[in-house]
Parts: sequence; structure tokens; C-alpha cells
Amino acid sequence: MNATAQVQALPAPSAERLAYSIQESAEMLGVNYFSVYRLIQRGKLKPCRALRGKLLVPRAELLRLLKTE
Amino acid sequence: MLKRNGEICQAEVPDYPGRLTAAELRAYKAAVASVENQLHDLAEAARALSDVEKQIPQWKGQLENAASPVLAVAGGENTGNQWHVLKTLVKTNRSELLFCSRALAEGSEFAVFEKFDPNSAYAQAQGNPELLLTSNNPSLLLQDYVESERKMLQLVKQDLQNTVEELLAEKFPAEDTSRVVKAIAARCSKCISPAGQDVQPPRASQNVRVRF
Repeated sequence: MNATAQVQALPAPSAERLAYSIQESAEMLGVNYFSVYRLIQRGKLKPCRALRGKLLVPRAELLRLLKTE
Repeated sequence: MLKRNGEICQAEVPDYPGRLTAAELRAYKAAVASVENQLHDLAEAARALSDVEKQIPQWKGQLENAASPVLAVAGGENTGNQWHVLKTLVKTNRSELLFCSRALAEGSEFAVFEKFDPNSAYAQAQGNPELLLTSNNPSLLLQDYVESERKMLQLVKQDLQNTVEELLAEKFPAEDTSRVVKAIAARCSKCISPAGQDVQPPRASQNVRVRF
């Protein structure tokens, strides 16, 4: 599946979420979830945090990585 | 007999020295069930990293292997400085971490690449493989690699704990689950460090001068 197809797999704007879990982000990027943590650690992906500190990846960051914005 | 808020504390769970009440044990089991796969992955990754660390000294002398396969790097095909794969450091279902070298006029250069599934959206958007670390000193490079992977595992562990805390707050809002969180944290720590010795960040007091 190419990048455009993956982005199309993101929820439609009506159901658009602002951020995704690490596992969901890994699925969208087509990588192992440890790779997402590596991207965060290297500063290539900037996460946000939920109330209890759980890492989330903003939708805009995913789109930026997939070069669709 | 130990009681907490009138409830008997007698349930023992792995890697946690304290005892939980029946309600805490219920919460603990629910939490572990929800992150069982991640706990397993974390333990496996830590074990694989530990194996790599043990093997590094044996790799000396094997580093200049001319028969090693070439790593196809975009733009590097016609430069005459192709990267050769020396070792696969980690292999998961969707990526590999590869220890590579290439010959330059001034000597060998070493690197760690992450090679993704070529069909993944990330690989197609960002290029594949991705250079993570590079050095002309293989020992330093591998030390750096081990260190960065340890930090990554710490990040995974912390996130797993936070995920559990969030889940417990949702499922058991009326209960004090602080001991359950501690028990899960102990289990996570054991996963990434079987000896129970977490990698601690440098102490803030290290460079503090005290005047008398």
C-alpha cells in the first residue's frame, strides 16, 4: 500500500481524531511500533501526551511524515 | 494478617514484593491482560539487545568481510561507496536494524540502518533504509546503538506504565490502584532488566557543589 493509500485509510474528516496511539500510528505508517518509539526518541516524530502521560501521535505529525501536508 | 481498608492483603504477584487485596488483584489481572503482548515484546526486545551486547566483542575481526551483502541505499548505487551489511542487529516483522560498513579513501565507515518493509507508507514517503548512526569507530558505534536502544526500551516501558494507569483509572475509577500500578511497573522493569537493575538517568546531584 502506498503513502497516499495509507493516508486514505485514516478516518474520514467527519470522524477525524486529533491524535492516535503508538500502535495505531505504527499501523498507519506500516512499521513496527518500536520503530515509532525510535522516531520519537530521535526527535523525528513529535508526540503529545494524554492526561496520564500516555504518548499519542498528533494526526498532523503523521501527515507530515507521510508528506501529505 | 495484613489488612488494608478492612481487606486482607495476601495476593502475591510476580516481581512485586508487596501483597495485593482481592480487588487490587482483580485490577492487576485486567491490566496485565490488556498489555500482555506489549510485555512479551518488551521482554523479547530486551533479551535480543542483551544478546547483541554479549556478541559485540566476538565480532572484532569479522568486521572487514568482503563477502557481506550490499545494502541498497537510494542514491548510493553509482558512488562506488556501497554499504555492506555486516550483521543484523534486530529483526522484527516490519523492519531490520543492520550494522553496515563501507570503504572510504580515509578508511572504513560504519553505520546502523533501519530497513523498513518497502511497501510501508513510511518507507515510501521517507526513503528506505534510514540511517540511524554513523561512525569510523565500530566499537563506539555499537556502544551508542546499545545505549540508544536501551533508552528506547525505557520509553516503551514508561509508556506501557502510563497506558496501564489510564486503563485502571477508566475501569476502576472508585478504587485506589496505586499499588497495582507499582506492581505493573515492577513487572515492566523486570522485563527490560532481568536482574532488576533499571538504567537510571544521571543523578541531578552529580555536579552540585556544597559550600561549608
